[in-house]
Amino acid sequence: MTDQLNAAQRDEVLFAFHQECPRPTADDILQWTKRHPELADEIIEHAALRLDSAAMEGEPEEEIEEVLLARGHSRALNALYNAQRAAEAKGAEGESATFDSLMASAGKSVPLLARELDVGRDVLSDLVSGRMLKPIGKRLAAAVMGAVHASETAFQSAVDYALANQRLGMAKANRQPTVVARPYEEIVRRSSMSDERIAYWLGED
Amino acid sequence: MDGEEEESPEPDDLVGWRRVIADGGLTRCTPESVVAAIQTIGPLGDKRVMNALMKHISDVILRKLRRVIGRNHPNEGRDIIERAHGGLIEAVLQPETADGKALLVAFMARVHHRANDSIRAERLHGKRQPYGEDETAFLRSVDDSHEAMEAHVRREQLLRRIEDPRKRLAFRLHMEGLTKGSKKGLSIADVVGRSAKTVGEWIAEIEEQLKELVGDDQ
Repeated sequence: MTDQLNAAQRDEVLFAFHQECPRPTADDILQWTKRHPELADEIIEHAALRLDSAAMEGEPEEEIEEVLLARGHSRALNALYNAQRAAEAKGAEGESATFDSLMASAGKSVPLLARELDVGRDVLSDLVSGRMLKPIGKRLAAAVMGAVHASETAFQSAVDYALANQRLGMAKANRQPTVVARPYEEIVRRSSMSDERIAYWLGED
Repeated sequence: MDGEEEESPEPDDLVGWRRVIADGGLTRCTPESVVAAIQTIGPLGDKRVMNALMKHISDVILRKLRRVIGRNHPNEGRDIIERAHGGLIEAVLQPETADGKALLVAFMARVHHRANDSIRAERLHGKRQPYGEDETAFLRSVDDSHEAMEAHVRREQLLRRIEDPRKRLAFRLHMEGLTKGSKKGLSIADVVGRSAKTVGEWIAEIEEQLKELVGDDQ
């Protein structure tokens, strides 16, 4: 991590030097190396290269080899292709996520998850069956996301899907089965969990 | 890039970019505007437009790299060029990276900066070969037989063979009239971080080589 940070900082300093001193003078070089002694070697080398370039100005432009341009095109289209694949994967992950798929990928069932998270099975069941209205309690959302390794996007997607495709409760004798989605708080308060657990799941982070 | 600059379409103006591409006008647009279009339209956007923009920006990068990276490297610098190009062409599509952001506002400077980075990396990790390939090509490119130009050419030819960037820098400063070492005032020794004695040895060495070069010509 420090390596990455240092590389980024080093880059910033050298690029700033590059932009501020297109034709570094002795004074420039001295100032910059004094300001950033840990980068003295790099600054001196970059200065030397800048002056090399400056000396080349006025020379006729190098003809660029066809093969370089062709390989460049190939690399460019390849980079584009990879970026397309990455963007599509990101989109798909969000779009097609359902609680079924998320839980299956994580190898979890509702009972298992409920035990793991120490949350009422009824609460969890309501969530995955589309009987829990948004917004989903932050603590529960975070806990479920963590347990099934879902991104925020995927989780929200699954919630929306569940709400749009509510699982029907048990049918009554002579009536159409109805599903009532209720708010998070109500579901938690009415669940069979202990008072202490109820308080926990109603808490904010 | 000379000639009048085309007024680049807005980054999200797909119709505008299609027109520019059809007219062959990409070379008249600033590279920054092309990068903005690429990053705005995005990898899932219009395939034909994105392909054309990517190929064009690839050419711009390569021409700049070829200009900055001389042939005094293994394989005439092609390896260094391809390495630098590889990183940059990916960054064009990554607006969240430092390069991706910099290419949007200071394209040529960033390409040049990365070129210098790659040269330095090559020097530290690779093996630089002596300028053997086609020395005369460099000389051939200079038509002017003016004496000052000849001296410049000779000097540059020699300097390009010197691997150590500190030595090259020291000699350039010497040509500008800076003293080698001094107790008061700015000196070459101060700038390159070496003793006045060492700087003196370097300069003497290079001047000797220059004399030999002139001797060869005659």
